[in-house]
Amino acid sequence: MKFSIVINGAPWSSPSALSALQFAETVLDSGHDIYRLFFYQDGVLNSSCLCVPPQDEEDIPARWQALIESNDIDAVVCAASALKRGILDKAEEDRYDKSGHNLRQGFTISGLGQLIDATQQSDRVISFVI
Amino acid sequence: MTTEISYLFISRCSPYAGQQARAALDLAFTAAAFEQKVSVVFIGDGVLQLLDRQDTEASQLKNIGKMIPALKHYDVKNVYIHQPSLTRAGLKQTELPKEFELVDDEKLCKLVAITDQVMVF
Amino acid sequence: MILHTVNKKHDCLQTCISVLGENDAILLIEDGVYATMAVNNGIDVWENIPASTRLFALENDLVARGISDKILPRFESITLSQFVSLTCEYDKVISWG
Repeated sequence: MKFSIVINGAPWSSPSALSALQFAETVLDSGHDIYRLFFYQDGVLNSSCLCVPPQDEEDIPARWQALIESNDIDAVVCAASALKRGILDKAEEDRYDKSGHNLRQGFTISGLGQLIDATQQSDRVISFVI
Repeated sequence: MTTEISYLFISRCSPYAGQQARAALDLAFTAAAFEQKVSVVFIGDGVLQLLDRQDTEASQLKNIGKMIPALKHYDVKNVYIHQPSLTRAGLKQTELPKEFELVDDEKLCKLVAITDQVMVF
Repeated sequence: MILHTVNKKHDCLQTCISVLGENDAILLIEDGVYATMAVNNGIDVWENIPASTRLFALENDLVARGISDKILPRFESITLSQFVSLTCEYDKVISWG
């Protein structure tokens, strides 16, 4: 089956981001496909390359990146949610004249339309809510 | 978009508790803009988003009450208010937008069953 | 047939239960697993759930919270793989939080 997964929670702020990550890994281990990962609301913080978690905690953003890159997954970060929370790619850094960008490799910033598209193209859509 | 599917956004949160109320509306507007069949139901604390005299000028918050009429503007016709939630909140329907339909648990259950994508905020 | 996932033990669980259809299932995850305990703030939320409703709880979350031996017999503890299988078995998934 083709899955899309919606991630609404920030890493570590609630269990939901890690739940989503573990579910995504298990979907692939079970032989299914992931059409898209969509990071919405605080979920966009999973795409930051600037997080430095303590060594005894899971590096959730790094694990997302590893999953995305090794499985060539389309990982979309909601633009409106991202900008508000200070997640920027190079283009947004330049557009808004900011001092840096922090979007991890493997993620792309795009609109909510990508979530609507995912719901249309996937067999199952699972949200991990805050 | 090649497929039309139906969406139900269940909005459970009060307007200023966090970002959830806004997130639900933004997604409803987007789905409607893509000409999908969109329904929204306000339930639990979500009914508080509909109060008609929200004034956020002094608090400087984004006024969620002012976003509600945009549902009509986006042609989202199926907007429901969960009646038991209204009662529990001590609100009267006269304090809320007249064009929204009241639903009970049974009707909501049917709506949930027949809609393709249901998302809870 | 809908699979409902619930990640908290109050409030959203009640709302989920109020829209439960026949032959739906509920999977408790994260803090939602506390609702598997025989006593949950003195309220038995499961009393009036139809017998046809399958009830599940995610094993990892039960174990993390040290409550694996306190869950009501009606609940089936499942792995992540079984969670994935359930999502395929049911027509859609609704997540409550």
